[in-house]
Amino acid sequence: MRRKLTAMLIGLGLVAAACSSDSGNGGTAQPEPGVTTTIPQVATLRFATIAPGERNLTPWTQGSGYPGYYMMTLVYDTLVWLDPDGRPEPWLAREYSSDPSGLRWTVRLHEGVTFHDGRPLTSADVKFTVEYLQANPRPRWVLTNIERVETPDATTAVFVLREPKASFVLNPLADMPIIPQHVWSAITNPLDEVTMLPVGSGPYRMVEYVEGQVHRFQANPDYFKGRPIVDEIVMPIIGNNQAAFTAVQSGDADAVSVSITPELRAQFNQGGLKTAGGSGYRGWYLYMNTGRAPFERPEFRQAMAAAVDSNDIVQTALLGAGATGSPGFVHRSVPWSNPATREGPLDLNRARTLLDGLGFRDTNNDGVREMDGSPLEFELLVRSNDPVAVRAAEILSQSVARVGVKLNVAALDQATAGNRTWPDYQIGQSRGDYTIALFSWAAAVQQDPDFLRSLFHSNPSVGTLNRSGYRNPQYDELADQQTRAVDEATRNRLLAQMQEVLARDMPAYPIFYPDDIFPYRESTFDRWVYYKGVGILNKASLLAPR
Amino acid sequence: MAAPAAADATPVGPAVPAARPRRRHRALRRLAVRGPQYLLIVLVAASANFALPRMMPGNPVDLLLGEDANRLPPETIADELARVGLDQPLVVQYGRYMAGLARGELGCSFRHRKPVSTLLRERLPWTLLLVGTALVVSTVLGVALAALAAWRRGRRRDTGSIALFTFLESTPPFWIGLLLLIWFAATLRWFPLFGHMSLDRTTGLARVGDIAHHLVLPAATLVLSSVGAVFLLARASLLGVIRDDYVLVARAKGLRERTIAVRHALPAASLPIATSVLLRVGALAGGAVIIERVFTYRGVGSLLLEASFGRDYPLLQGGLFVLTVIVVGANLVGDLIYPRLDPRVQR
Repeated sequence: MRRKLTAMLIGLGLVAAACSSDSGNGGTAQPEPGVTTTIPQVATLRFATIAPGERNLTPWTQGSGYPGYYMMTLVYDTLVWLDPDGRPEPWLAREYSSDPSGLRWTVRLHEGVTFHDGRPLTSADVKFTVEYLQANPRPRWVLTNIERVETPDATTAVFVLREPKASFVLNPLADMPIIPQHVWSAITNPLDEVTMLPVGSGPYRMVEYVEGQVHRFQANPDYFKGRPIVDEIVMPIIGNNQAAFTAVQSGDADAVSVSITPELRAQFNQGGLKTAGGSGYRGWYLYMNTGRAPFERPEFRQAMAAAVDSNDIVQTALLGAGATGSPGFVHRSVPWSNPATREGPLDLNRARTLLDGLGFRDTNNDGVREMDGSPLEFELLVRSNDPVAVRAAEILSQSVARVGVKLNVAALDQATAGNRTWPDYQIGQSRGDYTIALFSWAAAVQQDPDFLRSLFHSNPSVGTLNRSGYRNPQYDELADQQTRAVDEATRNRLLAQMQEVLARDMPAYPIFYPDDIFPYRESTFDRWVYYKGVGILNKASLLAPR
Repeated sequence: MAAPAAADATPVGPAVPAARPRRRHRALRRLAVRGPQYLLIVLVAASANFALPRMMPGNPVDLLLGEDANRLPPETIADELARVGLDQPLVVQYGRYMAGLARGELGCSFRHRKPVSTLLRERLPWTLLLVGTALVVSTVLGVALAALAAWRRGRRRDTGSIALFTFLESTPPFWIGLLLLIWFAATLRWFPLFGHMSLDRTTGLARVGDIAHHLVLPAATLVLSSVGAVFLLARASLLGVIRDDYVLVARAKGLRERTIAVRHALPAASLPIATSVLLRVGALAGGAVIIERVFTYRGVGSLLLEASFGRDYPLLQGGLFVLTVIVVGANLVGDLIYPRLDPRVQR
């Protein structure tokens, strides 16, 4: 009792405590290869979600990346699906291939796949999905690059592209849910209230949704990859993290969609509780506005990065439960991350030399350097709803104070901070109303290499996520070549070069990635598979390996 | 303005039969004077409800189109903004909003894509149940304890209870809520951890029991965080009358202490208490917003909190407006019945 209470206090950030920071993550014991095990069916699994905004889980109404997208893909299937390590494997497609030009992608579907209402899923549904998404775009699937979809027969779909796109497999093939034409052809505005329960072809049907209260799923016994292990999944919506964690502890829930903070880890590895997870891909990045002096100078951005002690931040703010970022922007566990740009540039002497070289010196001996007579003092923007990030921002400002740059942490609510960096959705036209900020990007940014292009390309219609206003023609050229490079070796070489340019120019510096630590009740369900960088709720956890 | 209309609505002449005609007349006249004032308050509040959400930085584009909406073609974003009327100048938006209010329309929520009125109809009963329960329980409890304390003023127990209630009064409600959640829901397992009713449908009496079961902790939180104010007010009010002559007379007549307290002192002291009950509706509704979040109670409070995170303007405007009307209405009722309670204010 007492210990539980202390955990609560810590969770609320009211008590500062240090506990051991062993980084052992429980996972799912996979059976030995060659040993056949029969997996017992689980009747009901209660998975608490924190997200109130998933609505009725159609591609136009679901909200979050995790768990929302993974809840939706229990109902809908994609043509290709990623395995837990993020590698694509055929799913609705038996096979898929591209011609040498990279402009024609042929997908052959499995025979006999049906939607939940028994109607067959054919290439016509694939074509319909693409056209429907082109008419009603969603940020996640902007399909302007698909010129048309040809359907030579019921199980073959050919995507004809306007330009080659190397990551076409990752998105849309492995990301876009296939919707049934016979249901959606009657729906004119998918964004408007859609009260229907979604009809897909996935392993689960959503049988009930009560706004703000619960999503309820039932296994699809006829699923083409076999009957799921769990018959019923109940997902109560719980309004706050604390109550959700407590629900797992007390047995009101078997697992939860949010990661616990490191100080609670010991609590959740005892008494029938376990945790699953690993190094998360949701990261925190130090963004520097390249349109504001002195941040337009790469040397100054270099100096800032050299003064930041990421390791200290991970040890102090995350109690060691996290990974430091790479200057090349890509998480070190990502297959195409460049080994040469993985290590942080922490070097206070180098930082001081760079700043001296720029002529920024502390002439009045107040500990802060001046630029043309005015002190190097900036507002460090961070959103206030993540206590770990606010702590990290404080440590970060102490870090750079050692080389004579003063940062004042400004913690603002999420929408306000967002608006300062995306002013009225005019990315590219303006560079945001901030100088330096600690932002977070969702895991997805590390899963598809094409994000490196949208994040830093200087053309506003390509660099839709370019929050630092970075402009470098050499980088643009590499990014454009990379996106067309269908040959994997060529592409990886280009990606490695892009990371080198980023490590040198430092428009944004990844500081840390908090570990994902998902608590669950072992006795109900012990087969959780952690999707690298993302979470435990996914098809892989719920389907028997074949 | 609507003020003259409200004045015209006052019946003139002795249209009221028999029973205390003059008093009824007076209440109506009072309404004629007060009504327009309250209407003005509602109009000002409605304007503030329009302005405040829009004064917050940030915008609802992500809510309307999905995360990272800026990856969409600019024309898609422009179309969507036009569809919900956010492309219009603020003056036009304000005019539409006010015209809608006059017609009794609150618009459509951005997130839920449903009429705001539908959402509020679903949720308001729960908030009313929570706030109503807390109001009744905290009043009864506060007055009863205050009577005991006032009668024993200066003794150790009285001093102790003042300290306790002052402590409760100054403790943040969400903190009390979390403690109750940990002790009574998580550890002792006497009450459910979250929700306004069980996920498994129940019917009839079982359903009533289930709802009551879910109500206990959130209502207790509201009671604990507001009973202090009632107690302190009632105690002060009682101490005021205890020193009065008629209590002395009653004692001299040899009446039992309990009779003196219940028959003589309490009625006289109840005036400020009664007024405070209606005035506390606003504070309780404010507290309910946070408490609903702690207990995932499906009322208007948690709905509005989500709406403010996502900048769901129509829902914020509509929800705040309905809460405003309820609070102002409670004040108006207090204003109208006060003369009945206290003849001294009748002129």
